[in-house]
Amino acid sequence: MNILKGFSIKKKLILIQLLTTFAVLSFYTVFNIVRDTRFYLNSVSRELTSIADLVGSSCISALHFYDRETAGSTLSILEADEHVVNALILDSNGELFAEYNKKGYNDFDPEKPLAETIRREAKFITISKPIFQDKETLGYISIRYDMRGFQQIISKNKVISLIIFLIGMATAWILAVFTQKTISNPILKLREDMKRISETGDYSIRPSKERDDEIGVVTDGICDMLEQIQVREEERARMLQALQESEEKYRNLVERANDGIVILQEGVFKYVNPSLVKMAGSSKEKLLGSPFIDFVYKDEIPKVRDHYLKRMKGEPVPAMYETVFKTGKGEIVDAEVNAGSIKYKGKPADLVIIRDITKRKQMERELIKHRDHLEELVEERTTELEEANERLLELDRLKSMFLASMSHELRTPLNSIIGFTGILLMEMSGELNPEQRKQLNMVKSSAHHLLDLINDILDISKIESGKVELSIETFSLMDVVREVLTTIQPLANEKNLQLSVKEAEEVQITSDRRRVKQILMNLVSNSVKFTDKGFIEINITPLKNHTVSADVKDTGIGIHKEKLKILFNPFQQIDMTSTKKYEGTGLGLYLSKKIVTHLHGDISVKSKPGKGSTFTFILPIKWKEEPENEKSTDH
Amino acid sequence: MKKVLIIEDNEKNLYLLRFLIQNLGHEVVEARDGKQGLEKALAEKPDIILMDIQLPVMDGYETTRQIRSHEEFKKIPIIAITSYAMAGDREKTLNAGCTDYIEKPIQPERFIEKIKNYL
Repeated sequence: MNILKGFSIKKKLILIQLLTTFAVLSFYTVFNIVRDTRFYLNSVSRELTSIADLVGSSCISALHFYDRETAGSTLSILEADEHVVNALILDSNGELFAEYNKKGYNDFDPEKPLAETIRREAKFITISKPIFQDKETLGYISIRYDMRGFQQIISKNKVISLIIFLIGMATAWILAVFTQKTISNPILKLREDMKRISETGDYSIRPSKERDDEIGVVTDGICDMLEQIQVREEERARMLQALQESEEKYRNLVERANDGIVILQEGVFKYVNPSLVKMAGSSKEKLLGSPFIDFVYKDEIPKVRDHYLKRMKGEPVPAMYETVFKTGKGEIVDAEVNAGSIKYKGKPADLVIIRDITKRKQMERELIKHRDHLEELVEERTTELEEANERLLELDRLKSMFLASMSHELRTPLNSIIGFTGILLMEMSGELNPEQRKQLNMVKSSAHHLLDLINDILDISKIESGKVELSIETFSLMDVVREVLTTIQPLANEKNLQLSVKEAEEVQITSDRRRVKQILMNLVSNSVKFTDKGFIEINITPLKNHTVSADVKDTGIGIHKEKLKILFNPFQQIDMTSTKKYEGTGLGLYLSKKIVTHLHGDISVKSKPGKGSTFTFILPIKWKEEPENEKSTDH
Repeated sequence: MKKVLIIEDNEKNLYLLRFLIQNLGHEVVEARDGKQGLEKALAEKPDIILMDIQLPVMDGYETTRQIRSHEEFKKIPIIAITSYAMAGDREKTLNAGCTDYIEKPIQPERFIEKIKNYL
């Protein structure tokens, strides 16, 4: 069947049918011919035997009586049968007794058989048999029969058989051609469809299903397969497009990148982008195929090689490193290199990104130069500033020393002035007339004013240079208030002012007694100074948070709103024109504020012009080195 | 009549103090520095000492301490004449052994009032 392999189904089907028919017909024809031949041969043999028997028995008497003539005439009867060509009778000794030869057939050589024999030759059949009478052999008879007529019949039969064979084959051919169509046509159609699909690439075409037999099932299978192929094809098309877009995107990226991008295989350029070509100052053709290392500045070769080898071994190396390249024109390029392994055309390769950082490096060098210079400058300035600071500290020390000694020096003559004025006013050195007393009182007042000024200035200088020495002790706040009232009372009496303590809570506080008294004294004397009629009232009230407030309320001239802010600045006695009327140092509130801050307290004022003012100062009941709320109150 | 030792280096202040004490009818002994003050105290055995703090040779604190180291001066009133400038040192005068202090500048009325307590 292997020979059939290359044939189409159509041919195979026809061939199979024809071969089958051929085999059947051939068998039948051969069988027919053989059967016919045998049939004729048998009938001839039977005829000849009966003739031989008949003629033999007819000749028995002749043989018996040796009558040749009768025998001869008996034989001549055989003339009637055209096919019998020779007949002869032998006597018991085998001698010729009688014979008949048809014209033209004289070549007959008789036999003397002991029994009946039939000899077949090409053209003849000869029968020989003994002639018996009462089991005594009287003689022998031989008859030769011409087979040519018989062979004609056989031949005719063969021709007929052949014709039948041919007709049969022809019929088989026609039937085969017809029947194969029912099987091969759908297959051929399927084949046509498949061919069309494969030629056009249109996977939306579906072969039509025309039957429900095996071919129908195959068609269904093909349709399912096509469905899948179509889905895959669409997917593939989408992927292909995405791939193309991606490829285009990345190609663009690489081609238009400002950085040099190259692909190396075995250290040789396999791809270079335009930026690299520009950077290298060479051409793409020259670069491709040339070794990368030629491009590296010679001092940098070991470093680049080392990095490459380490990376190949899988040792951890920084992805990015800086190196130096030498261009085709001999220019030196500082570069930042980022190398990684990829696959290129199926083989391991290196993707190297090279950024020209020559300008950056230059700027860095400049920057370093500037920085170094700057550092020098800063150092110089620092030294200068340190020296200046040193000088300032020295000056500050000198200032403090100067102020301290000046105060002392200024006070010494005041001692005499105040002391002797006091003696004179007490009339210890003799009587005074009213004018002398008046003038001496003026001297006394001026001397005290001067003393206050000197003391305030000294206090401020101490506070400002941070040399406040606090003397912390526990005392009764009311005692201090009473002391202040005792001192101020004469002044209030002079102006007919009512001076009183309204709320007098007995509170023991731990603070600097003298400083607290100084502040209270300042506030109360201020109130007396700026009040012409009405009253001055002092309230001592313990507050929450372990503090105590002391407020001094008056019915004095009051303070304008805009002046309130600058009230605690130095030399800000409200009405500069009124200094003559309200004599003072102008430092009292400023100093009070400074002291209160050192005592970790606070001082504030509320006022309405013409109605009066209330000064409030708040102190912690227990002064501590570092109060918990200092930071929050600072802001 | 009591004997008052005034230790003061400033002539005018010394004059003022002497004038006031003598005016009150008491005897005055003078010294012009700390060392001299100590000697005068030991020699004269005064009833009360007025001690300036800022003194040449030996200051008021040291002088007070040395005077107090003698058994017979354990209870004698020593009044320190302090300056406002030395405010922080006021406790130091008491610690050094002074009985009381009088602030400079001296105001005659107050001075007399205070000193009468010790005379």
